[in-house]
Amino acid sequence: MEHLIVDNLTMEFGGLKAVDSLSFSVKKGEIYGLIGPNGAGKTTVFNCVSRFYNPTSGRIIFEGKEITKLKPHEIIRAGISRTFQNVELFKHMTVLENLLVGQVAFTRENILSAAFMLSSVRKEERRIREEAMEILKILNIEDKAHEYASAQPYGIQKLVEIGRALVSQPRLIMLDEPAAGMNHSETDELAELILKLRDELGITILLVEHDMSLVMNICENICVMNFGKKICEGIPEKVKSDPAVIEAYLGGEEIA
Amino acid sequence: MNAKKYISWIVLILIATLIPPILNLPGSLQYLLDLSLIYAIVAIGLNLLMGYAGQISLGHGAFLAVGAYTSAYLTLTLHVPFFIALILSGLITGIVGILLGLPALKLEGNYLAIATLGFGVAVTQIFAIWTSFTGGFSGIKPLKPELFGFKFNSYLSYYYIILILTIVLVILTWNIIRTKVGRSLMAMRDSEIAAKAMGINVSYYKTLAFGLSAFYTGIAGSLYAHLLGFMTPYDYAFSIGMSLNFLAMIVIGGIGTISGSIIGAIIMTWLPQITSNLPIKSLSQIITGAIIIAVVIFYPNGIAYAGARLKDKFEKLFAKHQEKIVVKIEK
Ligand SMILES: Nc1ncnc2c1ncn2[C@@H]1O[C@H](COP(=O)(O)OP(=O)(O)O)[C@@H](O)[C@H]1O
Ligand SMILES: [Mg+2]
Repeated sequence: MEHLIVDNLTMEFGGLKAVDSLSFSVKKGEIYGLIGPNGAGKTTVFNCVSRFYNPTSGRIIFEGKEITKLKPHEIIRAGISRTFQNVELFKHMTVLENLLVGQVAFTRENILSAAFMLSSVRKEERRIREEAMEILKILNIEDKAHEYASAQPYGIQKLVEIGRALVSQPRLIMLDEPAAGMNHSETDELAELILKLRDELGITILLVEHDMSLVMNICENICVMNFGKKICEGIPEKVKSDPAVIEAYLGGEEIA
Repeated sequence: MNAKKYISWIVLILIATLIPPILNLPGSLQYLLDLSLIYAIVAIGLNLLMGYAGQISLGHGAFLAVGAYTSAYLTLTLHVPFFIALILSGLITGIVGILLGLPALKLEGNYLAIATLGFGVAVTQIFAIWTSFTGGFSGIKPLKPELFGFKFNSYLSYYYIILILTIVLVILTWNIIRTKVGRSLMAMRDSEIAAKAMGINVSYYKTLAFGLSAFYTGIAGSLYAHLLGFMTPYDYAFSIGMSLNFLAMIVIGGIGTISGSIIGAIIMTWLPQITSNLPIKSLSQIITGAIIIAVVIFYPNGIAYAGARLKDKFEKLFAKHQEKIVVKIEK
């Protein structure tokens, strides 16, 4: 079943086509890789799905519904959450608080019930704290819960971002270069984590990543972009040996 | 809130309750004490907007005026009881805050500062001309507050009304900032795009922050009106100068802290008074200014943080000391 369909998407920035008539679709429960050289348009695709950018043309369909008209803050309630290439944590909040922000769209408290700390608010606060701590445990960083997010090393910050995207219980999660800045063993743990999210939580994953061995190891299907266009799509073996892909990467990273 | 923090707040409240009658301050100083708590309420409101929501306002003096004149009008002309007028002043000022917040959605940083500054100037000008509402240059005389037949004539008795309201507002604020609304405001302050991706309607929360901040200031304005025996639109508390003072309060006390708002308000209200006893008149303002600069240089995060750091150091020192003792005993 098609979970996310990107249909003929074009995004222009003053004449520059960052994304050019791009189509691909992600099946439910799949780990789907979106790769390509720097500036190929991968992050722009994420920003179109997140609704930060209004595509020049094309449609984005999630779970059978077109989401191209939604507002950015409505996307998480539709079931999609994401991380950012350049970590966008809430710096002056603790790790736990960062995760709690991922829950605000799903809590029913309002300013009055919170101001007077009604018992419903207490209950809800306790519940979301427990849930957030559960996620921190899965990520193996529960000891960092009460430390400031900005005080964490880069690798941990990346995990906190994933945690924050997870607390909303998304059905699709978009990860923008999650392994960037991680060392080998951290990347291995990340690979395990991503597989776990899919296998145990059933989350569909759209992955943008430069670490080719990570992509080739965990993705079932891959779309390769260059200059905004799709140049190849398919299983890792096919993509690896595709002449156009090798050409695009020539002089860049080697394909493992 | 942990037990230690809880106890220190209770001790503070006890001190705030018992000190004035014990000291038996002369009227002018008791007036200043009342005033510093009223300004503390403004500072808490401004801190919600600036420290938590990350928006700037240089127009809070004007919100104070809106609250003050609303309350004066309600009690003098419409004979509304004091307490109801107080709440209504907060609500009406809050609505004005929301109205200012709407155009502010399109503005950021310096431009927002200028827009709120313009709002501040405009309100004082309008109030100066609108004599049927404000009495203009000849002023009006807001009534002393009355609750259940008891008239709060003295600055000392009125102090307790202000104190109770301050405590209530501190508790409500504390609850707001550590739940959904507070988290949304802080998230939007730290990263607007991540906040949006997390489902936070940034426009809504920016407007809410303005409304909430103005609500606090409106309450303070009402309290201020009934503290004064006589009020004109030219009152310093309504001016741009005072708006900048409010800003100084939260910067000195600590951006993004409730305790810092209160500390800052008390310092900025009492400092000029304390230094005014110096022999040379203009020296007072110079020293006040110098102290502000010194605080900003040496404690850039404000006095509340500096206090917390000092406490941390002491505790660490103490912990080390304890460790040493334990080590000795084990040996
Ligand atoms: N907001 C924007 N305004 C103008 N140009 C943009 C904007 N966002 C992306 N671009 C351009 O679009 C192209 C693709 O960028 P991006 O999607 O970030 O690439 P990738 O993530 O694949 O490295 C780049 O040339 C970039 O400069
Ligand atoms: Mg990118």
